[in-house]
Amino acid sequence: MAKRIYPTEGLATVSEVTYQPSTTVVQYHAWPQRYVEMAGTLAAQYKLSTSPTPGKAVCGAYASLLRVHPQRLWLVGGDLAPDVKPDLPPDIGCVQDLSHAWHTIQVDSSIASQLLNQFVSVNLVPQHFPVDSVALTPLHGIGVVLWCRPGGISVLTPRSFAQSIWHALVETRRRLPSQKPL
Amino acid sequence: MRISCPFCGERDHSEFTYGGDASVTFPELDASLEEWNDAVYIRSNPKGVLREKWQHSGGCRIWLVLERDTLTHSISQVEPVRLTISELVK
Amino acid sequence: MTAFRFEVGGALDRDRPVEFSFNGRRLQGYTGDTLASALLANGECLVGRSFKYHRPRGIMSAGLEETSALLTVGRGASATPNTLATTEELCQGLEAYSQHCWPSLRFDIGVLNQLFTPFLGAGFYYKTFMGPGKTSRSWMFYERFIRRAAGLGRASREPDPDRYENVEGFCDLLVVGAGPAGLEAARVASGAGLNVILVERDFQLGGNLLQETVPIEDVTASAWLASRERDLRASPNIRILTRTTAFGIYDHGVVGLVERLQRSPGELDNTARERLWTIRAKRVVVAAGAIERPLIFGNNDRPGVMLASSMRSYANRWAVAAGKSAVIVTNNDSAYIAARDLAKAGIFTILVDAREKASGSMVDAALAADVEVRFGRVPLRAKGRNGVTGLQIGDPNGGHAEIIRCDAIGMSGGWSPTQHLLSQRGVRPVWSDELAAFLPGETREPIRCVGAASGVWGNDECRDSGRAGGAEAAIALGKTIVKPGFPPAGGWDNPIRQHVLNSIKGKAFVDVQNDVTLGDIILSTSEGYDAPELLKRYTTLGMGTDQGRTSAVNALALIAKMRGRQISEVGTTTFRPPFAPVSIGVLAGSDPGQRLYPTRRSPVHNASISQGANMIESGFWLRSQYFPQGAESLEAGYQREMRMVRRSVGICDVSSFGKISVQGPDAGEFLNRVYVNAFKSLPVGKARYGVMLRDDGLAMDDGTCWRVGEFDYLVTTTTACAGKVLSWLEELLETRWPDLRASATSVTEQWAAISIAGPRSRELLEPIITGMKLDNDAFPFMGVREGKIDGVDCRVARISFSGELGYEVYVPADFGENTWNLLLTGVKGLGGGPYGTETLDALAIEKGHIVGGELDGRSTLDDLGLGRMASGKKPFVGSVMRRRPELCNDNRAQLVGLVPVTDGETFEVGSILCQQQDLSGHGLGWVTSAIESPSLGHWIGIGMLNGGLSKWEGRTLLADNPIRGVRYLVKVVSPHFIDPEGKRLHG
Repeated sequence: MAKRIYPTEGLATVSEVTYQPSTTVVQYHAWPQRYVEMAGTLAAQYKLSTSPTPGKAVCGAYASLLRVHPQRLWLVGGDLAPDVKPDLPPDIGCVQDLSHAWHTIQVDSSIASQLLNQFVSVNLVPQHFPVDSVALTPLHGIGVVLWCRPGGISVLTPRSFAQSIWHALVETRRRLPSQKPL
Repeated sequence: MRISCPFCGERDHSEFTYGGDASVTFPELDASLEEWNDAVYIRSNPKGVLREKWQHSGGCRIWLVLERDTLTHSISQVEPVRLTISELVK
Repeated sequence: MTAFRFEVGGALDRDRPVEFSFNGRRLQGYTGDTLASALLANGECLVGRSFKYHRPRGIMSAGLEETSALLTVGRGASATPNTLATTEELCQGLEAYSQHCWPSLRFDIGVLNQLFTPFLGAGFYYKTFMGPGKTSRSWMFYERFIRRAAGLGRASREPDPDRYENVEGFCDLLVVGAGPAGLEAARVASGAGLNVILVERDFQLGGNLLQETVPIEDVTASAWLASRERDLRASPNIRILTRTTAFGIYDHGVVGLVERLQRSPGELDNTARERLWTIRAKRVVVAAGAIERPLIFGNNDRPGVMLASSMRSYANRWAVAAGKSAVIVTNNDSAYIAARDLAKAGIFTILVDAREKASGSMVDAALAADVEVRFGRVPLRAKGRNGVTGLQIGDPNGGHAEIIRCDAIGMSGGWSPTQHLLSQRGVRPVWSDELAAFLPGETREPIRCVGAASGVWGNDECRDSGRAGGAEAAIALGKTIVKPGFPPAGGWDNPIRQHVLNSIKGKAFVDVQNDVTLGDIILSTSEGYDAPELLKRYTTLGMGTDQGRTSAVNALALIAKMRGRQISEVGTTTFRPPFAPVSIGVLAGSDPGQRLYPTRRSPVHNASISQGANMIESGFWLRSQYFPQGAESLEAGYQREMRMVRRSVGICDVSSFGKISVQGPDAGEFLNRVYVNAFKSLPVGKARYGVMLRDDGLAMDDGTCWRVGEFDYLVTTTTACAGKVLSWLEELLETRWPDLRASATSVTEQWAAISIAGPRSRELLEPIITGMKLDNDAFPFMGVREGKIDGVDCRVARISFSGELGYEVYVPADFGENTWNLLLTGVKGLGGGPYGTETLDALAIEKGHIVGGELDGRSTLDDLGLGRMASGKKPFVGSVMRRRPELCNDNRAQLVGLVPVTDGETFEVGSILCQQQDLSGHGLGWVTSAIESPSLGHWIGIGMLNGGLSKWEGRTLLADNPIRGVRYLVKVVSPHFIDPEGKRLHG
């Protein structure tokens, strides 16, 4: 069976900018009147205490739900168990697998806001963007999803732009020591 | 310019794409030629407050309608176009 | 003028001397000097030549308002022209050069320009140099010389070697200016809990405090400043940025700052030179101080003529004497402070006051310092050429004229609050006759001017003003603190007297930098150009790099006087960003060149590169254009690839095409409304070619749409329109038909897509695919099937635009490269290979498909020969508007095929089609695509032609390329060049 090849394979790295093979990204979309119902069902299904409000993520043991749109939840995490097949009854909504479309680059919390606020015009300092925050915003002109995790900020980027964004982050990270302090 | 997306919060206007005059009602697909011609071409050009559609294309991608003062660019009354999701943006 | 450095004093670090050069001469200064203070300390008073008349010029001020000391700093690619010596921090190894003088600063041949003065007055380019004779070309002849004779510095033509950075910043309150008012505003606001950014252009905080000699709150000014700075730097919610200029305020509190980072030429290495901050501030306090105005008198531009407060700055802050004996000319109280400090420093000082009398503490202080004061006298004319040697004064009518010997003249004509940032928001300033100043106007913007920027002159009152500004911001943002009142503008003991000019002798300059004289203003006004916007453009007053900081108000006063109007009636010009010059490099950002835009790479990208693909940019995408064998050209390459496909089989990466997943119970109904043809009834497992129109009835995009499930469709688009179509579908769903239960999501990135084309396509797929049968009955043309390739789920559609048997294979993107490699091995074994986008398009052209050049927003379905696709059974977007008579006109430009009449002739895209006897206007049409067809053995093209096939089929026209000057005869034919019955497609 063929192996998945990730878009940043073989590229030069730095310690604080790492590629995260989160192999599952599934979008759940509900028709407006059925959203609340869908959110409740999914939280239960993935054993989460609650479903996320706008701009937030709720994290569980092996998967998290990200609120990326008024009607949409993204399930993000490792490989799903073989018997788990994301699905929704058509009168509630629809499901779209995006596991290959979005790839995650993680920036370590030690430099996350300093590095990313050279690209992104959302305030990423911890007081304004605490853990479990989610923001959809352009980075270098590309729409990405920023997600604050305990270890740093995850940047979910469209696959075709991943290499470009990787270069931008890694090179800027390399320049940080010689950068005059902000 | 900063625009407050109802879902994402205040963002730079460069995250949004202008989407046309919100005061225009597009008729049924099989309406008359006159109605369609008006909807496609006839616009007023007020000096003052204008209702506009924008899409938060660099963010959550919802369509929203806002009021913008063409003189001062001050922006008010931002809400999702699709009112059925007004509750879902909070 | 003989400037020199005092033995002691100044806010300098005399333990750290700094070496620099001026016009090649090595000089020395100290850490804490500006280039200007160091030049003066070394006795360099002549530093440049003026813009138009090449008059000798010196150092006029100590700040951004500098008109004359513009030098080029650095050499070669790093040369920065028009650098203000007065704001340039002196650093080790700095190289400064005079500009715009030849052969040397002292003996500049350009000075001969002054002989042409009568021909170079205001608006001269409309009035002079028009002859001899009636020829209209004379101006073009003279212009070359005039242009070279005028100007300031020259920019280097080499690429900028420096790096720049961008940062996005956020704060509750932005305070612009760290003088007494700004420091207090920042302290109060941050103390109340606001997040504050304090910005200061200078390399030291303090503003006016840096030249203050009077104690503040019982300590020296420098001690007060040091203590304040310590407190602010220790506060966790203040960020202090020095060497940073706020250059523009934009809508909704967005402010642009440029921070200068590099200190010495030697520090180049990897450090960025400048940093652009884009700040989003909830509130702004402008504490940018005020600018002193010059007086207008003869030769008021000579080296040695300075602003009075600047002379004081040089004495107090930099321990530099502008001369041994100075005359201060003034019409207001502030100059008495300058006179006092100069006298105390040991400079013999005479003060000439235009007013009949003045009294109070400032006057007393000056008298106590032995300053000689003359009342009721105005300056008439300065003496000296390369330096001041004296000043002629007299009464306002020119009587009682006498000459005072001196080597420095300090002028004070009043003060202009620096409220430019507020004015950039369209807030018109308000003239105060009492203060002879423009004060900030009322506004609802969350911007407040404090201190001298609001017309407050006293030191104590400036601090009060700053505190009030900081408190106001904190209260507006919800903090509970006491709000002190704002002190009123003003603060002098005696009223200012707006200067009168009755008898000026010699050139009196109003705008020193642009060489605009009093005579020019008079001329311009008498010719009717007396509104500020007209005067500015006619005389170029205020259009220099100093943006009229020291000239605008004086000019307005002149217009008002000449027209017998009030200044408030005359009005002002509009302030626009940038407040001070900003380098293009810092705006271009940290990644110019190739990295300015992101790059989009297909999942198959690396494999294509290793196959030697020649990549081409398509928007942000990199796509394989062709796969050159050896050194073959593009033309040879695509022809070989076309032959390969039609003879055997080829594979092409089409991952960049847009793919949108449309899902939901109403997805079919939705697509029925969006496409011109039917999709609701499309069976699962079938694909159909569709076209979408715009609301106005014109074609928007085309592509295939596959039904992959009962509630599941895949819409494909062209690469270029992918984003546009997605936004369009989202717009329709959210704004027009919100009740439809359908959702549109981009899946362009989710799938790698490989197109297989050629008669041996089945042989390629058969061995590697499982879960589907490929024979014609099981998998007919336009069918969609699912299966597995090498264990990976895949989706295959039997689609072809090439006219050959073909399939599109979709696999999840991370498996794309593997799938490609597998197909590549197989295809080579069949005598085929990879092909690129050039071939993809060329194959489609041969078949007569539109390829994008025809979908330019001007064509309808009928124009493209696709009218029969439109359903008559259901309305769709554009179905009504496409029936407008103009859009159904038979004579519209319609799709045709073209072949050259003469064998062997080539084609040019963009050529204009016209009748042989009528090469005029826009012709009858144009060529949109052209290729050499290996199948047919000659060039073929597609174009849009008025009247189309029904009018022109079989007839001959001319295809004319007027830009390259070539034309050739073409015959109009059907665009379906090969296999018009589609036998190969359906086999």
